[in-house]
Amino acid sequence: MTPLAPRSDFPLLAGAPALHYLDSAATAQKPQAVLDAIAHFYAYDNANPHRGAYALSARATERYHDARTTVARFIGAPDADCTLFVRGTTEAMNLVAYGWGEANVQAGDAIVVTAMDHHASFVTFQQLARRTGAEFRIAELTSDGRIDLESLASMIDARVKLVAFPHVSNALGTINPVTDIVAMARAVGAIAVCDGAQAVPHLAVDVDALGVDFYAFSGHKLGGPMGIGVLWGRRSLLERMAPWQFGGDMIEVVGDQQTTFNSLPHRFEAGTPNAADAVGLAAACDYLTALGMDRVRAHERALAAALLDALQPLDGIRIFGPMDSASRSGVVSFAFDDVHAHDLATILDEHGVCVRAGHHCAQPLMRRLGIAATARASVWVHSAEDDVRALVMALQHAKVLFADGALR
Amino acid sequence: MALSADPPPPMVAGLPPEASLASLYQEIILSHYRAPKHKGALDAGIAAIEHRNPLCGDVLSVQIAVEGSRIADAAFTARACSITQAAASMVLDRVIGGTVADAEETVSRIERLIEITAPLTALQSQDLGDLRALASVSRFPARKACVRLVLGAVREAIAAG
Repeated sequence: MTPLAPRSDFPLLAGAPALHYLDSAATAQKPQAVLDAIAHFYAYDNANPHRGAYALSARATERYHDARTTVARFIGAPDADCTLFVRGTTEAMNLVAYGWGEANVQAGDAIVVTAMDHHASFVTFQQLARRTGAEFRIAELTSDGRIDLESLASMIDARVKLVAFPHVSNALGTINPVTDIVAMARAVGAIAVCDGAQAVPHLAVDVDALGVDFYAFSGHKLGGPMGIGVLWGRRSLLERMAPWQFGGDMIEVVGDQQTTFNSLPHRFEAGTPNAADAVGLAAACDYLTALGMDRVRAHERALAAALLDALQPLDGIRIFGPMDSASRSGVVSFAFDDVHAHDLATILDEHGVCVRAGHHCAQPLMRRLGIAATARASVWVHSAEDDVRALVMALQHAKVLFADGALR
Repeated sequence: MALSADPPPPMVAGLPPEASLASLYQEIILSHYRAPKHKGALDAGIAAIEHRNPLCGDVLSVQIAVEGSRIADAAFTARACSITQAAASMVLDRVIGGTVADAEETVSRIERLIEITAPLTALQSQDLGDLRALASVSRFPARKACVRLVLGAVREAIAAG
């Protein structure tokens, strides 16, 4: 299995031929096209958008606007003005909690999340529940790492105002049945908030077809720069939401004692926008569009299957999440009885293999799995079978070292 | 996939992995990890000081029984990596039976030790014994926190004991 995209597209990988980067779920390496787009903005188009009446500022505004249109199209958003630029998924979730939650959730209501939610959503809505006095409910998982839809259904009653869940689990790789979950939320009039951070870089996403009310993702996980991400929301919800941050750009008329606010999307983007990174994110979307998201998914699915095949025979390994590649992204989390995940990561590092070791910002999930940490390998468009081979070799080395200290 | 027959991948750091890894995973560390000393719990009346590494989720709990100016006994429980468990085993083994002042000095000394990347001088390694192995952590910056988790918990447990 050859890479879908050549390593030469990625300056970091081109400069480190022996590096096996299997941590794309934490952050993706950046295509040259993205770096070029950011540099081009600063070299040729840089001015403060929405400010100056001169041609350069107008061009900066246009680049920022075009970036929004590109990103909106990439996620199937029918309405670019409802595609808000934020710092990332975490800020997007906080925008939902403060912008929508504070006004719509109160004592006696309930909020539902899942045991596989990332802290960005889990903690944000847990704290919303604490502030408002709402009940915080956690849908449990099946033994093979899927959302237990019966558990979820039993929690979604008329008191529920908000249901949050990941499109794809960052720690387990599980691809969740979004439309089924949305239907459950719909049936009781709750909104559905979907964390798409692990989905948008890896499979074709159409927020309108998914039927969600809010959808969030981070730019850096799809090859864009760090510090830019997106919250897409339904216009009917966004228009009724009060701004959550105040300042420049988001106002219409500022009186001495009161202020009226700008229209969408500006009312939720206070201050000078991160235009250069938005342009970089749009370039990342264009890069993936050129590869074809269906091909990206097919490539990663084949690699996930290869990973599962290669890891399963290892003695004492425990692999988390669904074992069929159809319901799993290119994320494989695992643990050994006798070698802790951090020790694995250190040993793998010496072999040039980068994996994440830890709780993956999913401590509630780790508690349920009964472990402190897993090692997680994750693939992307530049990954290939030799990355899988290097991983397995390094794991075998770790096993030998911990079994009898044979290194010496 | 036939995996075992392939040659090892080229090294990144310029050293064969055996050479550098062997310094971290010395037999002394692995043996403390495989058969830790003082793992368990003391009397429930002695405060259990629990420290966590928020970055990775590891958790360590230390109890230290202080009688007068001496450390009478100590024990730990952990859900943690080999470095943390080995360090806890070694440090507790060192401080039990000694004075509180010596234990505090041992903790401070290890704190300095894990920052020393050059070969240890005779003075630096004097009387270190097994603890000397912890100096190898200096070459693995991401793992210093694994040792510091132990030092912080021990320091607090001494104060509480």
